[in-house]
This record gives sequence, C-alpha cells and structure tokens, in this order.
Amino acid sequence: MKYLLALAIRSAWNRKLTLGLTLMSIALSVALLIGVERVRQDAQDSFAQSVSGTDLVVGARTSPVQLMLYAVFHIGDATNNIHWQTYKDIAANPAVAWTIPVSMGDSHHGFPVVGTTADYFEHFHYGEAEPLAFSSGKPFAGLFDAVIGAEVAEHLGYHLGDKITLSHGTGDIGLAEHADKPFTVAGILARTGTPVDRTVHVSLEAIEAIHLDWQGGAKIPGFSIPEEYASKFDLTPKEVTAILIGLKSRAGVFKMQRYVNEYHAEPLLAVLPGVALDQLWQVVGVAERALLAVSGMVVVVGLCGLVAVILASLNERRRELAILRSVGARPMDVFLLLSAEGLFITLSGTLTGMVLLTALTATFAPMIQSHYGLMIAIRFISYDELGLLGIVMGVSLLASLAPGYSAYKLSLADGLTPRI
Amino acid sequence: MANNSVIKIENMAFRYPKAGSVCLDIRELHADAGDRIFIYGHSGSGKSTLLGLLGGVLSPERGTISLLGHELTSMTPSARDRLRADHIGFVFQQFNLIPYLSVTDNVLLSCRFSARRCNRAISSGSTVHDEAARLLDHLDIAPELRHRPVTQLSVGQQQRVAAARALIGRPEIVIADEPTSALDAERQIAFLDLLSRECIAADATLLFVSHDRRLASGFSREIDLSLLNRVHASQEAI
Repeated sequence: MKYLLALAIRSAWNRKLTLGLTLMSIALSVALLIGVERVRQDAQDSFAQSVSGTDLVVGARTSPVQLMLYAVFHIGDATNNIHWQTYKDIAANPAVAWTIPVSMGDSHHGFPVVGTTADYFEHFHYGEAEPLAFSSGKPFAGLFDAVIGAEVAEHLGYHLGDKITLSHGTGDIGLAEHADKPFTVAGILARTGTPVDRTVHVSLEAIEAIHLDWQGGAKIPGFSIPEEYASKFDLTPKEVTAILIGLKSRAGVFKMQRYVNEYHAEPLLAVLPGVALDQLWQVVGVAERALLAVSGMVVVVGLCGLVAVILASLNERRRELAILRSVGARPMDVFLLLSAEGLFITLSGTLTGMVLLTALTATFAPMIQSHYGLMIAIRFISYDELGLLGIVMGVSLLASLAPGYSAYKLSLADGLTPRI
Repeated sequence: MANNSVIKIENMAFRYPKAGSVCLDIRELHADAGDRIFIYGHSGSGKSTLLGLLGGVLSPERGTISLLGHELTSMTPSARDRLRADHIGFVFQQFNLIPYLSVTDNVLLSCRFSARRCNRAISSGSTVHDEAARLLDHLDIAPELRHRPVTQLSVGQQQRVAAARALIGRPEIVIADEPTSALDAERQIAFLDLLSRECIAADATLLFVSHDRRLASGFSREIDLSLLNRVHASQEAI
C-alpha cells in the first residue's frame, strides 16, 4: 500500500510537465474559489459592520430595508421626516443613552450631505465598535463648517480650509446650488470602509441656515439672507430624517422599539440595524452567490481537465500496468494507483492554491484596503473554507475513480500482455 | 509424485468472454522442478493466452491448472495474484521495465509485491539491495548503470535487468515470453545462456516461449504449442 503510493508519486513525477500544468490549473481554480469566498465573507462582514454600537435606527414609517438604505447608506430619499418635537421626546426617554439625529436631502458633487450634531463624532461606531477618527482637523464648530469623509477628500482633492458649496437635492447634475452660503472644510475623517467615507457632515443648524431663504424646494426669488445674518435667526431644526439611538441597556431594545413603533403623534419605524442589514444583504447577496457558483464551476473545469489528462495517459501506460500485474499487483492495486494519482494532484493543487492565495492576499491586501476600503484579513483557513475544500476533495475523489476504474478494466482485459 | 510437479495442466479449455469458440484446449501439460521447457509457438497459436492462464490472470472454462500443488481454478483472483507474485518471475518481449524507476528499483519491484520473495532475497544476500546487485553482476550489468534511468539502457541491457527482476527471491517458475526477439542473433544466444545458467543456479523451472525454433537447443524439452493446443491441431487436420 505504502509502496503503491510511492509508485504513484514517482509515476506522476515522470509526467511532471503535463501533470504540473494540470496541478497549476487546479491551484488557480482553488485560489479563485477560496479568494471569492474570502472577499465575499469580508464584504459581508464589512457590510454588516457599516454601523455598530447603534441599538435602533428610527425613521418615518417605511420598510426596514429602505430605512437602512437612506439612514445608514445614504441611498435614496426618505418618504417622510420626523418632527423635531418627536426627536426631543425620544431623546428624553430614560432608556436612551445617546442619540444622533441625521438630516438629509442635500448633496455635494454626488456625495450625500448629512446634517447632524457633534454627538455623531462621539457616538457613531463602525466595524468592531471602532469610533470615527480624524485624519486632520476637528468636528464642526462654526455654523458653516463641514467635516468630510476620506473618499470625498481624496476624490475631490479637498484639504482643510477649502471652501465648498452644497447643492439642493441629491444627484450630481442640474441641481440648484446653495452658492450664497459656502462651507469651510474643518475636518477630514480617517478611512472607515463604510458609507461615512462618502459623506459630507454639517451641523443641523447649517442645514436650517442654507434653507432660510428657500421654500418648496426652490430659492425664493428676490429674497436672500446673507450668511453673516443667518446666525441671527432661530436655527432650531424643524425636522430630522432619521435618528440613531444608543440605549443604556441593550436589554431594553425591544421595549424601546415597541415604544417608537407605537408612537402616538406620528407613524414611526424603529429597526435593529443588525437584523435590517441581514435583510439587505439577502438582496445584495445574490450577486456574490452567483460569483461563488461561477468559481465553483471553474474548479469543476479544472478537475475535468485532470481526469482527461490521466485518462489520456492510460493508453501509453498499459505496458507499465501489465508489468506491475506480472510482478503480482492485483487489479485493485492498479485501481488504487490510478485513483491515487488524481487525488494526489488535487491535494497538491489545493495546497499550492492556498499558498498562492495567501501570497497574493499578503501582497495586495493593503492596496485593496486603501482603494476599496475592503479589509481582507490574512488568515489561515476558516471552517467555511474547509467545507469548500472538503467538497473539492470529495468531488476530486469521485472524479479520480473514473481513471482508476478504466485502468482496472483495462488491466483485467490486458492481463500480462497488453494488445497495443 | 505430485510434490515434484511444478506445473500441471489437465483437460483444460479456455474461451475469451464474448468469443464464440474455444481458443485454447490442452489435454495435458506437465513440468517438474528444474525442467527447462522450450514452447514453440507462432503468433496466434495461443501463447499469450497460455501465459495469462499460468499467471492466473485468466481462468479456464473447464479443466485444471495447478502450480506447485495449488489448484488455480479453486482460488480467488487475488489469491492467484499472490501466488504469481510469490512463485513466478516473468520476462517479456520488450519494454519490460518501468521507465520512471531506476535499474535497481525495477529489479526490486518483485520483492515489493511479495514478502516471500523479499525474505528469500534477504536470505540469499544480506539485504535485497545486495541480492539485486549480485544478480545484476551475474547478468553483466555494470555497477555504474544501476542508478541510471532504465530508458538510457540498450535493449539487451534492459532484457538482462528484466531477467534479474524475474529471478530475484528465487521463484520456482520463470516464464520468458519471446525475451530475445528484439536482440540480434549473437546476443540472443548469450542472453539465453545467461538466463538458463541463472535458472539452474536458482533451481527454477524455466518456461521459454518463442516462435524461433533455432533457440530450442539446450532445453530439456521442446513442446510445439500448435500440436499441444487441440483447437489448432484439429483445424490443421482438416
């Protein structure tokens, strides 16, 4: 048995060029499969960690997925806003530890503008409960100060002190500008890999101020309040779009959720971000599952190539098999010899693929993180991946039986004198 | 007397699966220990079939084949494989060696599949490697050739390595199937002499199958397969 294995390896070494190429194709397909699985896993993780530490997200009554889309990802618009009085009621609830009100609707070169309070920089967390960090500057202090995300700064080439103009509405072109009240970049946030990177943050009061002389979505003609007078007005917000809530005790989350959902003065919706993010991922996840299926197919193609190569070699090995039979090898030994070859190649290919993948990850992870904000952790191997590799080995075991069986039949028919 | 009989075939007929007619039909073939038998057969006379039957890879339709007192027809295929590994050495016509193994490893192949032959080789030499070296010496394979890939050897050298493989561990039976047909006339005689000498030294029964009658001198017995095989004998009678 041990000798058969040694024989299989030496025989394979004798055909190292063809088998080596086959091994490489399996290595690449396994690297692709596990690579896709890792990116998928990391994308899902980083998606699930777009917001952390927040117990509830509250908005006007809509679907949970839509609320998450606009409140956390700043995609799409809210159907309705929340009255300021409602916000104050909720914030005053004894179970609530902190709140972050957010007000949306404006944009800057396609990047969403979020009006909020300084609490945002203190309480908003992402990833494994990581707080926001400033790569330069500080939270907004003056009325027309703005804090921009890392991608906004990089994409538009902004530095501290630059003047920026907000646009009314969301989108990129054809929007009315709030040109009379420019903002100053007061802070730039460090990269997070979350929607925060694509956001321009200003104070809630600033949102009020730039809309003082607006009505019904347009500037009132012939009427303008200069920026130096804006602060003289009462800039208390009338509405906010959504509220992120942190509770004193997580245990009270369902009670608080019910309180918000049954709020008497207006119809509201409170969602647990984790649950809603999972729902949202179900929608987004179809694409990544398709990707995984495609890379699974690539592995199957690799294994088909392997079987084809071994089967093709069989005819020129008939003499070799007859010699082994003559010295006493059983047909079963011939079967094992040929099956072991396929398994051996798949095993080496899989190992090579994992080494290749680790090397590639180590090389490119920093680049991927800085460009896409996607953190690819270098790790050994996870249970899920072990499962995938198990499937690959299982399929290759089944596939390897084919040449084994052909050789078995052939050696039974040939006996000691192959008819070549 | 049965103790002395190494090969005994009686009333044996063989038909290939799916073939219409019987291909080999032998009333009696008998060999004693130390016999050196020349079996003359032209192609198509059933040589390969006879070898397959003696090697235990084919089973007769009726009759008996016994080797060293073991009745092949009552054994399982894997027991026949074991019997072949333990007691028979084969030398074939050409391409007798496994291309990816060294000369020595090719010789030792017989010992890998048979513990009995491994032990017997060790009792002749001190290790299987020593015994392989001794046999290769006897068969004129120079020591510097032994670690070369066998594909670099001449045909004559390859046949001698194959003979060493057949002889290692002193099997009771050596079956040679046209081992000299790829050699030129001069080397044929030399190879035959070497093989006979080593079989005598190892006390092995030699079955030498060839279509070349000129080689028959020096054997203790000559059998014409086309006369032995009643399928052909009857056809020729018609």
